Amino acid sequence: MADPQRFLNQISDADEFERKLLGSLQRVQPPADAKSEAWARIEAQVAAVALVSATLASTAAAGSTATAVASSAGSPLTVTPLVLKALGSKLTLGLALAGSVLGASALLWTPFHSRPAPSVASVAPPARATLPEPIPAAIATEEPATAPRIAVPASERPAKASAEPNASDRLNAESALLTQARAQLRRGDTAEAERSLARLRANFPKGVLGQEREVLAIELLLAQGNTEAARRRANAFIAAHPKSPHSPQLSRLAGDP
Amino acid sequence: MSEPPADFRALYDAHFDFVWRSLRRLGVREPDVLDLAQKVFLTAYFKLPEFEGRSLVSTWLFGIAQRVASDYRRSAPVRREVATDDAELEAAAGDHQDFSSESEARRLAHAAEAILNKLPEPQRTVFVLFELEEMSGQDIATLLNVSVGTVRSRLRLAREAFRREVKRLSAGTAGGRKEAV
Repeated sequence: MADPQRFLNQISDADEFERKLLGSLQRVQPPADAKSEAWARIEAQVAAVALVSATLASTAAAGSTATAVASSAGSPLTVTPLVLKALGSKLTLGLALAGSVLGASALLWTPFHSRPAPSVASVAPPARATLPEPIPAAIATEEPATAPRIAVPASERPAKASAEPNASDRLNAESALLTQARAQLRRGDTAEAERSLARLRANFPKGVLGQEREVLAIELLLAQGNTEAARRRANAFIAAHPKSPHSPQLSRLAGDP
Repeated sequence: MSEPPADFRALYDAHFDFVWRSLRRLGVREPDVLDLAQKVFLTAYFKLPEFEGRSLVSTWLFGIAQRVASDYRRSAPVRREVATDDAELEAAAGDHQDFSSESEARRLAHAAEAILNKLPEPQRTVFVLFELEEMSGQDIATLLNVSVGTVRSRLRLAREAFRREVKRLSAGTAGGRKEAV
């Protein structure tokens, strides 16, 4: 049996208003900048997943805590879907972690002008990591409520007796602190957000999430009403990281009068 | 920083508008479409090695979009906010005799979306695929993993519901015009 005539077809039994109503849906199109904005986010997430996966792979396979992070920072990491798939369970962890990590940068995509206001921030210029920093004990113990809950297979957990935290632990701690700073900024607590960012800078001066930290610092400046400083920092960021997925959005800020 | 490969970018460029439109037609509110489109393409990126080329890429992406939209529509806040209310529907439609301007076209589209939002999800999906994406009954059946008979049954029910709502809308706006005079 053949398919019926489509309503939008003139010879169907639909009346004119039915066709016009249905046809109106065909004219609904995405906004002009939607495609580029979504692509920037996708790039950022793929990059974060690749970075985390590479870190975990190197940790698990070689016992060397920093090799993958160092190599990914030193030269562009090419991670295809097949490679990611091959990472198996580590990818699951990577995705979960990337979700929490990128939650921090997600704030970037909300309208800048919708943020809360007042005071001043001083956060370090962006620094992309070559080696993650050791976890400061203060962070590891102070932030349990905001640390991402990630189920790590027993075989990948560090021995309890080990005094040296591995790359995954350090990234977790850095991510947790960044997530906390973001949550504080989102609820309008700029003073606390500023303190958290200062701790991030002090404890992870060459953190893996240096770019995300800097973006959050710029957002904090905006929230505090310090537009000029935010614009300067945005320009510095773009100059330092022209290919960063954050740069297009920051360019708009930098270009605003 | 690692970047998605160029061929994935080409796939994205070729299908972004399609995915965006599909999500809207599947009941995703405009402010949320970008987030969900991102989710669809990230899912596609990680599932790309599993894509066996047995269907069109657009059909495959629609399948992902459908699952993403389905999860979205099941979430409680969305259920509360999706426009299905009669007054809102009529306000969106306004006077359907005058839809020449851009704003009127938008109002009509909102009204049509509000009607689609009233359809049960399985009917809505078939209706959108058949009437707007112009897929055949057989292709829809393959995509949704149901029989062609089920597709036709859902389409018939969806059409009846669509017509019922349009009729109600027409009556409502006509009544409104009479009162205004």
